[in-house]
Amino acid sequence: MAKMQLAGVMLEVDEHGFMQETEKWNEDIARAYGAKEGINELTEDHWKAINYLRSYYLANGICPMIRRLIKETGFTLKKLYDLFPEGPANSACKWSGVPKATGCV
Amino acid sequence: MSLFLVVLTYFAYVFIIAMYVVKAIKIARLPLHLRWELYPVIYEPKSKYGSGFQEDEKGWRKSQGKKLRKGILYLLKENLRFNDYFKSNRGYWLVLFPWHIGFILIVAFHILCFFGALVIIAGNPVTANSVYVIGKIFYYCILITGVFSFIAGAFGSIGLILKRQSDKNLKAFATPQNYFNYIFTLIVFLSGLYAWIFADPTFAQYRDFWRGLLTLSPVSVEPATAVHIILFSLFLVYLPFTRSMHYITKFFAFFWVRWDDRPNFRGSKVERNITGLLNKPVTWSAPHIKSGRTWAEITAEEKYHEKTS
Amino acid sequence: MKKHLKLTDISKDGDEQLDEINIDELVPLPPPYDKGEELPGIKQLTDDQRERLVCNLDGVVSYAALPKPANKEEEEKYVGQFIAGLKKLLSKENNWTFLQPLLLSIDYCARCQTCNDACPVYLASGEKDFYRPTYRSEIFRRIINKYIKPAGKLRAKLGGGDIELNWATISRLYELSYRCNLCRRCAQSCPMGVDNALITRELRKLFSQEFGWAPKELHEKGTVLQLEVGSPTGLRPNVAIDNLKFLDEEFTESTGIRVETPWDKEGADVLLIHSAGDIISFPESVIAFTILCNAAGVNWTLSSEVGGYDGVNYGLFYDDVQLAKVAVRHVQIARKLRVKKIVMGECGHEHKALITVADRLLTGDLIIPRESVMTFLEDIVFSGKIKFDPTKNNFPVTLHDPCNVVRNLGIVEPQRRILRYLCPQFREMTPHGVDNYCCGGGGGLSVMSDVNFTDWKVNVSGRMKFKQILEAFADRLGPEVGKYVCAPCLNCKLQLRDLFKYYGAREKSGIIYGGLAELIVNAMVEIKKPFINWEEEQ
Repeated sequence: MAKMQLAGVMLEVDEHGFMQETEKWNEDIARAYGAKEGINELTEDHWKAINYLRSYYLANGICPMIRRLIKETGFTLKKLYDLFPEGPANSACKWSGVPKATGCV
Repeated sequence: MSLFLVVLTYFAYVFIIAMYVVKAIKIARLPLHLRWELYPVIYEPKSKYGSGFQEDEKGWRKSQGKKLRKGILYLLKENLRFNDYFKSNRGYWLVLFPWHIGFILIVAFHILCFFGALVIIAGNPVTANSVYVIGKIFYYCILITGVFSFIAGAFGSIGLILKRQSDKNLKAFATPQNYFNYIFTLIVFLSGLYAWIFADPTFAQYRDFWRGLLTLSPVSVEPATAVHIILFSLFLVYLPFTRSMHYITKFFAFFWVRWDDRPNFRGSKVERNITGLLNKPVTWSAPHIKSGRTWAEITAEEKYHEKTS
Repeated sequence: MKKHLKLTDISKDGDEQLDEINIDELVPLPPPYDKGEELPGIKQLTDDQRERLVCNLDGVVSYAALPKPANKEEEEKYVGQFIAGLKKLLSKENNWTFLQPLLLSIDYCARCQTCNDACPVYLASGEKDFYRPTYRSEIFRRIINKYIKPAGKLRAKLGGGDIELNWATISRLYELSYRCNLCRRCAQSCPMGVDNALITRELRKLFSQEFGWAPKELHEKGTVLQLEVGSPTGLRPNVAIDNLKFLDEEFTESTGIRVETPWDKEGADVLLIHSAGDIISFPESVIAFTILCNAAGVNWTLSSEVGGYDGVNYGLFYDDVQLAKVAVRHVQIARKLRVKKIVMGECGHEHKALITVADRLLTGDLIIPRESVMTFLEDIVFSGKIKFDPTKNNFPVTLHDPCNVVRNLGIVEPQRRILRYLCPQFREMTPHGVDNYCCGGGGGLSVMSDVNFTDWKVNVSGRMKFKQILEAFADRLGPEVGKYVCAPCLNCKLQLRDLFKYYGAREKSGIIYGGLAELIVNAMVEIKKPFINWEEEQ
């Protein structure tokens, strides 16, 4: 298993840098992820998406459909890509500390 | 010597037939496997564009139709023409085809000798100037198949050696046995050619040998013919140890795997077969299999509890 | 410079990479995709990854968790396990499921290499030796001959081409078994009836069923998760229902007609089993079915049982036991609901797994009729119950044939009859039908994305398909004309998504992809706004 140091914590991650122990997540980790992708400050919009993703994941064991994310946050897909450079699945989910989506999605 | 040739020939034929039958039975008795057909299934009515019966009858066809004849004809034609190779790999076809034609004709040659001998025994001489038409027909057929077989086979053997050596794709996968086979068949075909040219230009001796074989009254033949008879017998004995059976197993591979689209119904023979197979034990070692149970027990489990790490 | 590999090279220098993929050696793509250097190519592994991971084949890693042996003893243990697995593969008890086809493919290959030219991976790679359909098969065959057959070791010495079974061989064979789409074009081209894709799958089975090694997306987060929570996506029954409710509302709003998806209706005529991935990633496909079934008056239902709303069966790709468990689960659910038949969703391997392969795993009242989505949709389209206006689909459309529906199931024409009726600018790719090229995601590869595996899929295995698609649209390749690749299979759509994104096909050529049901709904007179969304990025 790969390891990565983020916000002073040693994390178990997969080969794409997704956290494997979602309970170890904190806001500083999200900021550190953002910084790695060139987003040095997380805005309120970022947090709106991250908090929704994370709470949805914790309640349902899966990331929400993009449509839901768009509806809940009120952001367009383009806006989500502006906020999260690699898009909702590869950046937003990663920064929220949830595992990478698998299984035909 | 003449007795030895008779015994050897009988032995070779009995041996090859027995070996082929044993091998075929072994394959035939393997258990029914899961469906794994591949389209086009040539005997399906709409196989021209690849469609199978699932398209029309929603997968629940009961009748089998006239598939056997259509399939066998297709494969026989393919065995005689090597159309697949002709289309996909012409350079290889150019040597592979004559080599195989050499085999087909040498088999035909011997079958004709067998029946020719029967014709002779029945009192009709098999010669060019036989008063009986049947005698003439056999004479020319034996002559033509024999000569063409030796020439085509020898050409193919040499060609295959060169081709396997010069084509890097083929060379990488060649084994010493491949080359041994080509050289061996080359010697068999050349010995026939030599005997024909120098000892037996009308195959009169060969026909006579076969008559003697069938009437169990061994006749003596010239050394060159004897050598060919011995080599051909050895060749027959050797064949079961090669992949030669692919001429026959090809039919199995197509009918029992590639075209096997027999559906399973309640009360069908397929269903009875499966019921037996599902009761076989599974001893695979990976943790998720939890071996020691039967296929039926494993698949019937309602809920899967353990997660493998 | 192209490197020529010998068969025996597989067992040499266990930690060294056997060969590498050079982007400029790959089959060229037509412009504007001919400048390979503008693309990222295949990501090189970091030093840390090279240290940790097994990377001794082609510089690509599909399974990060492949465990390196710690010492010589452990390597010996693996060799023993491999031989034990081989024996089980050759036994009637453990492998009755495929023993006959396996033996026919092992014993009667003529080494003629005809199949090489049929393989999209081999062709696309610029003819890399180790991607030949025959390379792994011949090594596997020689290992069987040497380690299992009587006097095998002696014969291997005399016969040359002696393959040493060691960690290098085992680990490279493992990775090589996941460099094949199981598309079976090679089998189709074989004059002897030998099936090299089947041999590849048997290798995968040996690793999964004996060692417990399989890509995590297929096993741990695949079949295991499906049997446990209901879907490899992690979608649980209540979340599936909740998502569909949400989608019903959304589409009722956007289409202006009432969209309502039925759940768990006992005694319905049809149990439709979608893939859960369609619910999550391609919801318009799922909703298109709801619209069509309701409009045609079909008495149908979805199931919210664990496993009942996800038709995928990854066992088809790597493990007979998992295949059987998932297939039986699917029919058990249908039996419980007392439906007349199960209809497959737009998912190729679901078709093959449940309609044909599992046909001989079912007995008694588990034998329930199973129908393809293609014939099901054809019946709906030509039932006369729905009015269509084909001019609404007046844009170039081509059809991608999912291997598991076409070459492996013989369902070729129904989808074409629909497209010829509803899409005025429908055109075929070359080749198509049972001779099609795989999308490059077949054999489970489309859901695998460990380390840099996706890079391999978009550069190598999907290359012939992408080339074919561009050629089909060559007359109007500019981005100003919207073009649609109809790919009625979830796995194919996922692979096309990766491909189109990597090459920028939407931006550069205006090419999008989607299923068949969406195209049908798009042509419905009753649906006023275009149903197909040309803008939205998936």
